[in-house]
Amino acid sequence: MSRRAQKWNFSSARSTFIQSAFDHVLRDLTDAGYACAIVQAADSSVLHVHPTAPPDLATLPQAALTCQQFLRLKSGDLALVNDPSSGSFSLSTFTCVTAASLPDGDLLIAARFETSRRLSADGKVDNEGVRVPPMPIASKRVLNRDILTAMSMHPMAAPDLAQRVEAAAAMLFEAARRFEALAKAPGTTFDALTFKNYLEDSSAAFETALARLPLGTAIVTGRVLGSNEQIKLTLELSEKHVQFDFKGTEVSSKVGINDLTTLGTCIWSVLALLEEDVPLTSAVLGHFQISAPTNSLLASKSQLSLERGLTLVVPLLGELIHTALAKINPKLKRAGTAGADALAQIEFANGRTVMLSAAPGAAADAADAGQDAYGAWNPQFHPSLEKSETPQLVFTAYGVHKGSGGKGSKKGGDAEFIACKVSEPAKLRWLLGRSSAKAEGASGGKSGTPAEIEIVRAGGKSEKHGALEGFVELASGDEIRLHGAGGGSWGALSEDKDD
Amino acid sequence: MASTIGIWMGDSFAEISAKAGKNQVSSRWFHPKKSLAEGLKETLLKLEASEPGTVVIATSRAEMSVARKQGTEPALLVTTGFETWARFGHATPTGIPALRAQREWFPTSPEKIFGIDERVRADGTIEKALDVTELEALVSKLELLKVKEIAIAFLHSEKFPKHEQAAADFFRAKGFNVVLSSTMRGFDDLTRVRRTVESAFAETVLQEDLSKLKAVLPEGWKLEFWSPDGVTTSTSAAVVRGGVEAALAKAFAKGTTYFFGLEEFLTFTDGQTSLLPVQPTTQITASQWTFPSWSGVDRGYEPGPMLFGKSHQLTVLDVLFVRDRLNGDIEGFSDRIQAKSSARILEALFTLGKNLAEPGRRAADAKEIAEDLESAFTERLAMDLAIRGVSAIRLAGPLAQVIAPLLQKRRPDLKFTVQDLTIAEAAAQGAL
Repeated sequence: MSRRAQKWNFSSARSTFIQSAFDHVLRDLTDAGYACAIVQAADSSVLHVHPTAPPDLATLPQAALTCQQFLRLKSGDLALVNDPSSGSFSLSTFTCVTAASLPDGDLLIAARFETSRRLSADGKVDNEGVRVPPMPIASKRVLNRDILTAMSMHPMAAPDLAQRVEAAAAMLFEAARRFEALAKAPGTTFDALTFKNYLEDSSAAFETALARLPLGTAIVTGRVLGSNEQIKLTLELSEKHVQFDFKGTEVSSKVGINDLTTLGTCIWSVLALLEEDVPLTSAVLGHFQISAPTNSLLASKSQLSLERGLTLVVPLLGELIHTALAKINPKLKRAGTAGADALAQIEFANGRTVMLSAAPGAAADAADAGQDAYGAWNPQFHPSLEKSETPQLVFTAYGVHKGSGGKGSKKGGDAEFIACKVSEPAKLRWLLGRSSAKAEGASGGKSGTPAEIEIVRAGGKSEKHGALEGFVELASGDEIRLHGAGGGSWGALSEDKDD
Repeated sequence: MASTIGIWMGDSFAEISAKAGKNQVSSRWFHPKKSLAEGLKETLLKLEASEPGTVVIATSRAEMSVARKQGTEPALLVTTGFETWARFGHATPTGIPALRAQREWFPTSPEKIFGIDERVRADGTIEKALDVTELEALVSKLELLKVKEIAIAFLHSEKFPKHEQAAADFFRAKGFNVVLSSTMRGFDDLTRVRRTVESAFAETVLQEDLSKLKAVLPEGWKLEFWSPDGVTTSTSAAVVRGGVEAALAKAFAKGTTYFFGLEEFLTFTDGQTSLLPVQPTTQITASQWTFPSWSGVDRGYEPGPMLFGKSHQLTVLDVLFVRDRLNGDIEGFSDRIQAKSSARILEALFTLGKNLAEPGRRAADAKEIAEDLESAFTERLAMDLAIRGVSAIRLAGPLAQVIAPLLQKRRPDLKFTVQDLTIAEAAAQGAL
């Protein structure tokens, strides 16, 4: 870089290079849909997060640090974890962590993937999947296949867990190799000072973006659908900080999310409104301050169902934050959306389960109609339709449920729908969550239709279910139709316009 | 001895390399200046071939037609009940928190998607047999919609293609062009459907180009295409997509090669092909940093880089131009450069720098910015080199001579050799 550049923005040029280096090294992983994070082992600073779901922002770096704390990872080692107390947010979400050995200290690289979600019968987390604490599963780039095999044989493990871990491991080891090669290349400076400058630049970049939001304070409350506990938020936007005070939020014996999931969701909610590619580092994350009452439903340490938390609390939290921001600046107002998928789990006698999910329609605002089939607060997991079919279950339809979005000047997004038929008896357990309620329209726009499960029995009789959660028995030949919740629309429809 | 003509049919450029006995003819030009058919006609005249030969084409027209959204919407036939599934696709996580999903553009409209009453299960059991007579009713609808291309994507057709083949036979007999998802191997279901529709979308464009070529080709000459599976006589967009990479991959099968083409920068290592993170027409824009960045958007040549005089979007090539790197004669390219565009490019760089200047710091001089952008570009290439960990690299393509000195200066420890091989020459080497 020329000396003259030092006069204007040398540091920023260097930071641009660092960010592009991170993107380049992680390219295979991010192209394959993994969430990724890079953390400096020495001081735990987060250099890069590439999230695929809101909780990733806070939980993914923590997963890397927890693995490092217990396992002291070196280059060539690999750890696997999904335990929520160690940085995960769902037992269907697995994180692999390795280390890259650089001259000035190791970098931890984490990659996270989704497997099929699972609903528990008793509302407790332990029946939502196999729980894996930070576990060493490779050394010197050789996987311990005995451990992987044992894990895969667990009745609640995803059938393809071992293959998914192997695929992640290969890409992670390659990412570590790339870092190590890059650090050795002449002219490349991957040292503590460079990273320190990078963090400072990322903080400055974020402050510039934050300055586009108005200053102010807002107080909002909301209630968890079904169990009715209150979330209370006092949101304060200042020049350089965003403060979330959840004092007044209640404890719940039915539903909750942990503090890291809350933190990630809060940060995501604000960043999503900035609509900018802000570098996600600990320097940026440090601009957010959050306090929630201990053991409240936003800082829960209990063994409650994580899926209920993801479906009921995370999207409510996101919507409340947006409502608060809209109070400070009415231009940020949006219609409502369920924000998370409606879920229906089919359990066969042989232990096989198939999870159906239907994404909600997104909310409309003054500028745009809501997008079809997109739950912003959800982990995005879309298994192949063809690969999910078996002799026990055949899909009969899949697509967008036209007309489910609210009608208005800017239409609410239509929801996803999915239908299948079973050829042997099974149990159907569903969690429609927030999708069971209508997503409200705004500024005169209509609400979307709520989620619904229709069961067309083999004899032709149809029954509809719209409760937040439930359970029925299925017989051979029954068809299950799951409709997600349509998004709320914006603005009244003019009389002469046919939407 | 039979003659061989290799042709590169690019998005905006064309190249021909022809050999007949001791006669050799080669040229490269910018498409809008001269059609490919005219270029081929001129080449045949100069070649004076004594007997018919073979024309081997490597083209990126199929994929570029999709990238530029310049094709013809096909009809899409899917298993009934799945009409909206393929079109809305799935949200692509971008790593940026957002309330709107990123979804790929779909190359046909909802009114051209039809559900067909057929169903094959995962194990091949036919739950509902395809009744070809029911397809008759669709023919008049397609004619009303002026559809000529049909993409067919039934569930499980990759393993059990009979229904697709029966439907294809029916529609081909009626004069339609048909692309089948069962010919797209190795993709998941949603990607397979998308690629089928994309191929059908690009088909008309490709066939129009080909028909003009065939019109000037003398009798007896054979026409072949590069495809990912090697050279073929098939001319379908579905097959020839990826032909340019395939031809170059064969030519550069050994070692590590960086190909700096006018339309693409590619790397070839041990049989693996990849795109470099920065392309010749990658746009330069402001970013969240107080330093310009590569936008990730490839502008192509319509209207092209600023140095061609028609655009106001800064690209990598514009930076190299104001840094006097493009002073040599690059056939087909240099004659498009408008010398007066230098001032406009510097003005655009100055405006970019002014907008990005940090408070209290002086705004950078345009030439300083150009120098630093060139340095950033070289660093990105050097990053890729470092990751590959090789000590000897081959550089090829019309821009290789431009970029070689930059890389040599950055990495004097590595051995660079420049190979003068064009895409058309690589294509010609594959004649069956």
